[in-house]
Amino acid sequence: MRAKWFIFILGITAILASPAISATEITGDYRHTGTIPQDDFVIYHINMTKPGKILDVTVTASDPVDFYLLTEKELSQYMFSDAFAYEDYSENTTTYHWRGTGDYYLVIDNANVSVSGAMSHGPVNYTIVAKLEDKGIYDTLVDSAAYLVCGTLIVIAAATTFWLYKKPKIEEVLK
Amino acid sequence: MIVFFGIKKKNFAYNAYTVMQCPKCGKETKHYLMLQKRAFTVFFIPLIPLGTRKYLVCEECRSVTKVSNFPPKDRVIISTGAERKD
Repeated sequence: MRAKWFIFILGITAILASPAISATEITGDYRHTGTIPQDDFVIYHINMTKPGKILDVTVTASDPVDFYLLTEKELSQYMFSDAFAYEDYSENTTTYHWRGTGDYYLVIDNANVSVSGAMSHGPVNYTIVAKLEDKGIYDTLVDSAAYLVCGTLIVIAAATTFWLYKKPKIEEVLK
Repeated sequence: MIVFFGIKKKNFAYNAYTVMQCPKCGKETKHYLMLQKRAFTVFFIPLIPLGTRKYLVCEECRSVTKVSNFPPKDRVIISTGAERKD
């Protein structure tokens, strides 16, 4: 009985750990050319858990394949269920400029996992050029400016709403 | 991207009135003061105040007359102090 439980837990662990094991980590500058066999896929892990990371990635393929940018949860759905959500999707050549925070997975898929998307007809050569860098001062300023503009608009909206709905006293009107 | 914009108007009624001849019905009746505030809205949120306008509302026919100066110089203004509902 114990042996059965041990094998069961080992199997579950192996299934859950498999995406992480098969994924290639992208850190800093990364360039790779490879071949994906028919009905297969490759996974790249991009660790953007530290805030302020920017990912620039360009993937080109010799034949139509599916590119998915997935979160950890979406990757599990991709691996183990028919339906899955994704952050971004494209075929052939794709370029991402990504600023999310968290763990992301870039999947280059040469398998027919969904009804729509590229059909797999044979091995596909692909090239991935990726750059994971810290957010520059310009981007930080742009983000700060965006927050500042939004904050100012909210304050103006609140002040105007207060002005609009406040009834002036008759003495003020008759001045 | 669709942007909804427009002008939001808010009316305030007062118990202050002047007695004058109504331009519409011609009767010599009370004309109550009404204040209208206007603001430019984006996505129904007021962002830019567009000023305040004063109107006189005829007690008989409810017609509205825009006035630039209130109280008018040649008219008597009576205000009970208690404010009317908007």
